[in-house]
Amino acid sequence: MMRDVLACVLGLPLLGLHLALTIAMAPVVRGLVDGCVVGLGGRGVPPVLMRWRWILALARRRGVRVAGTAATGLAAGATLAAALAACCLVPSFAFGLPGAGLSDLLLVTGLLGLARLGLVVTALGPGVARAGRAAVSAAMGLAMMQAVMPVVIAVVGLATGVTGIDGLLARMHDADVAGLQTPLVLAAMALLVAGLDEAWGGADAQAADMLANVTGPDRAALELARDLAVLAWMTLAGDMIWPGGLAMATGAMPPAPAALLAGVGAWLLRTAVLCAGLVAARLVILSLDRGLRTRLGLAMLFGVLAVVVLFAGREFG
Amino acid sequence: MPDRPAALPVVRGGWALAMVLGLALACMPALMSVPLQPSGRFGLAGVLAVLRVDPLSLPFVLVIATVGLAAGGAETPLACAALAVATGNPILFGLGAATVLPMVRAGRGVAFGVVAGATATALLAGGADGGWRLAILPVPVLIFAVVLMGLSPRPLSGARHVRPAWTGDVAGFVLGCCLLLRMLVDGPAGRIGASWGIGIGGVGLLLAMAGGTRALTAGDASRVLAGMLSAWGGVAVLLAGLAVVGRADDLPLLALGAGRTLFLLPAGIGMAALAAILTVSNIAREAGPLVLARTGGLAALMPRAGATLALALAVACALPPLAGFAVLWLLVQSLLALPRADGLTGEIPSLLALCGGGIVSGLLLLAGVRMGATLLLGRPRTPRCAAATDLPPGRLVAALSCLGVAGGVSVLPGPWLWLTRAGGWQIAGLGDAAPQGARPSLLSLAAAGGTGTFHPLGILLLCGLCGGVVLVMSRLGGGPSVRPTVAWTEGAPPSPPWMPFGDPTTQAGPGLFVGRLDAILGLTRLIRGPARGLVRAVRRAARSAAAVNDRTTALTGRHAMALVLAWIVVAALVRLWAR
Repeated sequence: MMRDVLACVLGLPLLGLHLALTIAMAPVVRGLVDGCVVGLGGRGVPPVLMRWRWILALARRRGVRVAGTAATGLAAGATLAAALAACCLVPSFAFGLPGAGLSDLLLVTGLLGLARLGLVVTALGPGVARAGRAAVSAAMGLAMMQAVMPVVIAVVGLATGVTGIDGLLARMHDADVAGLQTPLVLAAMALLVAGLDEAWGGADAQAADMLANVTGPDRAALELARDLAVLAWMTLAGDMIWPGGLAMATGAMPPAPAALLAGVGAWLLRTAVLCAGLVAARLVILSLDRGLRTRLGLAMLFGVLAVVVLFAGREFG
Repeated sequence: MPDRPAALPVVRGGWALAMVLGLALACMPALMSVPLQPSGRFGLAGVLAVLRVDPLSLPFVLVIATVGLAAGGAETPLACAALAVATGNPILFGLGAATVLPMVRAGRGVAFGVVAGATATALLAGGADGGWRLAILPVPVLIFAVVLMGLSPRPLSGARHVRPAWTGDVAGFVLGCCLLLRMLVDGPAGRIGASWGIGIGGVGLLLAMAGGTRALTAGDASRVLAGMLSAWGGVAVLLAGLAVVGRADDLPLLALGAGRTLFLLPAGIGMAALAAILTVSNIAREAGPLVLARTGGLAALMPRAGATLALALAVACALPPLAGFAVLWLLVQSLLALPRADGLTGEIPSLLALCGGGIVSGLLLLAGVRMGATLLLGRPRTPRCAAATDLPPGRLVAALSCLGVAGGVSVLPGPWLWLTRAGGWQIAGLGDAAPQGARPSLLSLAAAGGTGTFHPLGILLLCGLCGGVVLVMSRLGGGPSVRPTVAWTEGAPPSPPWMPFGDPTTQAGPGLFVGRLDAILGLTRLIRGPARGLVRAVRRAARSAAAVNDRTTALTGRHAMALVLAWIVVAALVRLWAR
């Protein structure tokens, strides 16, 4: 009991650090991706911190709320809270922190879906045609991708015997994972394809349509929630692809400072690699609406491939 | 009788008494296991033997008593359902459920249901050593439960075929869940094999998908709720199939997990659906018929009723961390705990079931968003709807109490599972000596295969903490307040709240959701193309067969003798070759 309390007390500052780093990094990552996409399109490279500046400027601006949408005014704050909760549950540079027992793969995908749903509700609130149309498309994508998530969770459950994120990372840290690496990488790819809406061309235009009638602090909260969701998806997939870079708490004691620094470096590296993949996807893939069917098929293909590779590894390897 | 005002408090008191007695039985399980004194005469002991709430009946009795208390006490089917559920004997239970069926359902299917119920009861009457009779029991039980819960394989929600949801539907749903457990799991004492369980689960999954599609395509709010309840009914059938597999393959933890999830369904989803049904009926009195294409903006016009309906929909749509999500989480974990044959082939059924569960979850989410978006968000589409005013708090008490039960079970499922623990052990065949791993935790839900744990209260606290951080940051930021109205008037007189600008019919309507899904997946092309081709192929084959038949008849008539001779020659040759 005392040991648990001690671990909790010692781990709380690390959890705070994880949350602060995640919040600080999220708009930077989005800015980096947007900058690379624009730069590779030959339209000049905007500064990486531009998105942060925009969010802060929005937060200082006076908001406008369309008549009759007071009930949906709370949606912006709830969306940001759901995204923050999801980020708390996804380890970035260390695992075994306080609250790690709450994290579950299906739950985290559900919370990130909830953050997406908050955008949809905000867009549908004023009853405007263009925003409503974009929101219906977003809701459609969210509902369609629900079919993929259980398959991904099945791969993780069959491979490691647990579906909790912390337990999964601990198993991959400890056990011989030679045969599990490829299926988990494929499952992470399926997760990214299904969950990360921003990877697809037209996502920014769709979000701009959805949030056209929101400004001020509400808009700032929603934009920050979008960025946090992107970073949470990338961190989750990165953890499944390369869990070795994460620092692990030993007993009640937090990880050593050197291990923590190495963990932060590995997180940045994983995120940078996944950003490069995101930029490539945004430059190559079709538009969002036309791509929804392709995206569903691709995500399902990755999931099924992960199952096949998992069993092929058990049969022959 | 209950319609008379003087009788209502009495009926309510009766429901409250039933609930208190149920709670007492749940808290003191020794009362349930008191042996009855055998006596030669049919006295009080005989009555008690018939109406004896056993652990398996207890959760359903409690839910129906709560439904009766919340529904105003004026529902005869509920009383009959409670009486049926309270009978521990499977045969008497079957008779009671068949009696309730015509009260909660109407139409041609009821006759099939009653016949199926009579067949199942007759099959069970042979006892546990019924031999072949029990081997075919799942078919009539499944038909009986499907009719009782109002499930249908029809994917579209035509007004002629789907009735609006009402309180009796919840009674049918609870009775159906109890029936599946009572007759399949508890009755035949392990006679039903695992293959039946897989078949029942497959049928349940298909019915759940059909129910989700009906909810997505329904034209009015009550039918959306009926579709959602059907989808959850299909999930209940799937869970019953998993419990049968667990019993047949001697996997008590799988049966226990499926049984506990089945107990969560009526208390979480059933109560939320009842809250939604009561709220929708109250809103309809103020805002007119809730046809999705004619309503809108009720969140602004009726904030209290709108918030109640939104919360009930959130539970029924399986949003985390509420009861619907907990049920789906437990379902996924139970499917992961299924026994497996070696290799990929043995994995395919559970993977397909997982994928189907995801599709059901997506359909429910989309149906809930569609209903919430067209009913609560946006602007009213008709002046009749725009004239609606909020309900007084007194009229929302019943719905809020049901929602409170659903919310309590969502946040803290442990107490509910503790109250119903003996039923879970009975399903798993563990008896009273349940091992430590089979005892429910008060704060969390454990996976059947030990693959994970779900802490709804912890997640809710985490979300609340994050919400508090957001609130504090927004207050510390000291940003300027939000202007409540648009600045588009440009000197014109202020417009009414339902029409700040533009035509309200231009907003995203219910048809857009279905149309977009159809456009993306090409469902109409997929269904109509092959279906038309199949009809054409059948017609062409029938024409060809008729032509061949005509020619053969003519040939036989003209050359009968030659054919007989040819047949004799062929037969002789075959006989020679055989030697």
